[in-house]
Amino acid sequence: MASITVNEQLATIDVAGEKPLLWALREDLGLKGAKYGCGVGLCGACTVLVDGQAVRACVTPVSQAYDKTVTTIEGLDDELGRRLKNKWKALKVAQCGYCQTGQIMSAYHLLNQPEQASPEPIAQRLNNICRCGTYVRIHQAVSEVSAEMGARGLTDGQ
Amino acid sequence: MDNDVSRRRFLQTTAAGSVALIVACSDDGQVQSTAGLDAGPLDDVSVIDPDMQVDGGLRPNRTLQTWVRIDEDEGIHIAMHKAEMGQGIHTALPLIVAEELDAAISQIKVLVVGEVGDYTLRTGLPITSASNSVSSSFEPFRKVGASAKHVLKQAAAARWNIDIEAISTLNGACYHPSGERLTYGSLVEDASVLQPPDEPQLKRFDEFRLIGHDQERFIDGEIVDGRAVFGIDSAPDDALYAAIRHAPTPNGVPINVAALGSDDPAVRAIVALPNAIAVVAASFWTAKTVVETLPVEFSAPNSDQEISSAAIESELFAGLSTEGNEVLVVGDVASVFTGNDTVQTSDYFVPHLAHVPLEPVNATVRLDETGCDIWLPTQSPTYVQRAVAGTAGLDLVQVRVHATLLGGGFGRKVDTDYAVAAVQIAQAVGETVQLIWSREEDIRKDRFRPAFSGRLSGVIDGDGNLAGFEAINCGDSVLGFGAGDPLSAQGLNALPYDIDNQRIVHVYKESPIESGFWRSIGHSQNTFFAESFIDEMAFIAGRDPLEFRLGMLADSPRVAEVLRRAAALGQWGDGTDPSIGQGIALCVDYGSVLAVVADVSVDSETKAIRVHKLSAAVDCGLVIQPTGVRAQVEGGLLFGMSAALFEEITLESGSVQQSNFFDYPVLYGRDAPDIQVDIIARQDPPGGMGEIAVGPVAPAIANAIYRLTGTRLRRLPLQTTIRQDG
Ligand code: FES
Ligand code: FES
Repeated sequence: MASITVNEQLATIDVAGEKPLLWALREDLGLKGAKYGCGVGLCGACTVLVDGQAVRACVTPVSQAYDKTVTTIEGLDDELGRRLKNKWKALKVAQCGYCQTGQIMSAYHLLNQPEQASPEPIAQRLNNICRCGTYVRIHQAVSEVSAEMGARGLTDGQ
Repeated sequence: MDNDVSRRRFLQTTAAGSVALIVACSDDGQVQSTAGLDAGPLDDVSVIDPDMQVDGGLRPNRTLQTWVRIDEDEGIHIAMHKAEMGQGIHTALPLIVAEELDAAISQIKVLVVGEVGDYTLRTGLPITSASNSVSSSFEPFRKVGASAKHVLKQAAAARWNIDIEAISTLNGACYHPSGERLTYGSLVEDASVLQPPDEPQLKRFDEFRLIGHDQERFIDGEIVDGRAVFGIDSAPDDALYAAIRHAPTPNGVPINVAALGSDDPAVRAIVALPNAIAVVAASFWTAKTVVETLPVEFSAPNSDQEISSAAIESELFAGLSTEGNEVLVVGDVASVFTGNDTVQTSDYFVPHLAHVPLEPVNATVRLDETGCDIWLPTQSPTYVQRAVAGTAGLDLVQVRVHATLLGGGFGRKVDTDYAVAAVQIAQAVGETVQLIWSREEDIRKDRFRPAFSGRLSGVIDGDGNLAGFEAINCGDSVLGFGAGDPLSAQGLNALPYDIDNQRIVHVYKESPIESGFWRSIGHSQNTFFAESFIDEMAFIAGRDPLEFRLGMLADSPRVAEVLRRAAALGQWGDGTDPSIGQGIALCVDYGSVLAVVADVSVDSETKAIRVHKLSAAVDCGLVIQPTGVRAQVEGGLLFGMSAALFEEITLESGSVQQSNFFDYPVLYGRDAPDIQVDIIARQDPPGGMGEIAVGPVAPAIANAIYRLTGTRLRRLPLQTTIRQDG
């Protein structure tokens, strides 16, 4: 028996510690927003945040999340998360939609660390597969949210 | 319009104590309705009673293309057998009905239904494929909307005692000239006893309020919140999970299943299937881990060992010299070629390809005394219903197909192999089971785009024109039709160019591994062959590839316009950056036309191909959802580009060598080019959009590389080819 704080709720979980976080979330906690796409850390469909860091939940043992804070797409509702989700809707980014929860989690992680701002363009730093080919819109959405947050940050003094 | 509609019936029903207005339309465009339609509780599969007494209109052996049902609570349901897999069809088709019905789009819900009772397919394929969804559904969906609206107006006219012409309709209600309003729901009972007009009045295209204007997609909210339910998300809480491991070679069978066991308490069962074993456990992760490590032995005929990519390739090239099926003959190519020593002949090749939808195939099955419930992502609920009924020994109506969202389809989810396996496993364990194929199984046990060879020949006359063109291709039939599969020559048998002498031949050669539909089907190989070779001939003629093509399109102004617009968008021939080459290619099919210009560079050291920009112009007739069309072009271009550059399935000793994204690389965002799309709006019936962008990408890139480097790449994937012989 171990505990994890998932989307701000304390959950207890009783599974093998090496069970991947992805399957613990989906099967044991009923959170199916994180998807299975490859199981080996290559596609990013399973991306969630553990203590604020984006991880590929399919290759992260659930034990690594014990006593930590996990945020999944279902719980991503702070300002940045909402802006990203709204932008995704406004630009009609999704096609099949299967990769998009992972894309948004990865984008959130990227935009949430301005101190690590990199000269590399956004496209180079998002490593999630979209088999439907929505990359152009993903990059546009992230760029626009980034610009909006930056602009807001300047005026808010944040 | 509509003169193919010989008879029109429109009935409706009051049954099971509820009243609903139901209008149906069959595949051949007949608007009908029947007193047998059950207006009881909505169920997503058994809406039509198979034993119903047919009243003149509906006959067995035909498909209902759609029906619309309007309830007294203002809810409107539209049934279709088209699945949503990212192409936006569950937005576009309701929009068409709402347009003619003058309903609010928010009132409408979509039901995906399978084959129902006796109403089997009349013509065509009951699948979401071949880009036919919008184009084939346009008329029937308009008609059900218009027919339903007409009787609702009639009912309102009677209620108000005014002329029907005085009534206007908007957002699900009829309006009296005074402004008084009656909602459709309040008119359902009256309307349900009225006879329909023989020809419902359809709107003129310029009267459309919804069509052509982007609508909010309700599914987007569910997707971004992680609430959208794909097949993989539909296991009920009490379900067990199954993982599968297929025999490594095509004809292998497991032989030591009785000796297999697991001491993991989470494992519930080990199940032998004809060509695989499955492990059932409380967790998919457990099932997958155990199935991968079990010491299973498979037995296979020795001939399986001889299957290899090298052997397949040499067979396909040998096949080009054997007799084939002449699918098109225009003029007399032989007379132009004979004795002419300037005939150019080039051999092309494309490998097997996997689909790799990001959601691997999966199915959840519950069997009980009433039949079978199956939840799955499928491009054909109808095929699933048939396959499950056959496997489980049930009647069709006992199979309730719950078609979920698809996490990508691309043709893979037309097949029913994963549904059948899930039923077999559920039968063996007697519990509700969700079977998920791991990514590895999804790739290794795909139904592949078959490898194809092509031999193309042509000759340029004294005026620099293409005087003769011959194309022979050799490969498998994705329809399982053998030599007569029309899709094997798709992309060669109807070139838009005016060429006096043409001969197109297909040589059928069965693939040793399973073949299936792959987005754009025949175009995925043939458009690469044809549009690369046309480019070769342009250079032989010493002419600009765009101008060379336009010269053969004098009688096809619509096609020529698309080429010109793509060239303009891509600044064709601008040539200011010497490190970039440009290539152009064209595709005409599904009632649509698309041309694309690719801007490409090649790293002189690493030979890495970089596509900087794709500029596409498209004419798909009437545009239902502009953003949807744009998305399909973007997605199609990138799907084609991924295969053009990277994708290849290889076989050794009968086994597929690839298993996951590290050895079956697909396009990542960092390699995605800028994409520009010019949509040419027309007031013609809508053409298909899901596939037309896929085929022309590979030749556009290859043609650009030729322009830049002088090397003609005639084999996909280009990134591999350029490193081998570039
Ligand atoms: S499923 Fe985790 S990275 Fe692909
Ligand atoms: S939207 Fe389908 S995989 Fe990205």
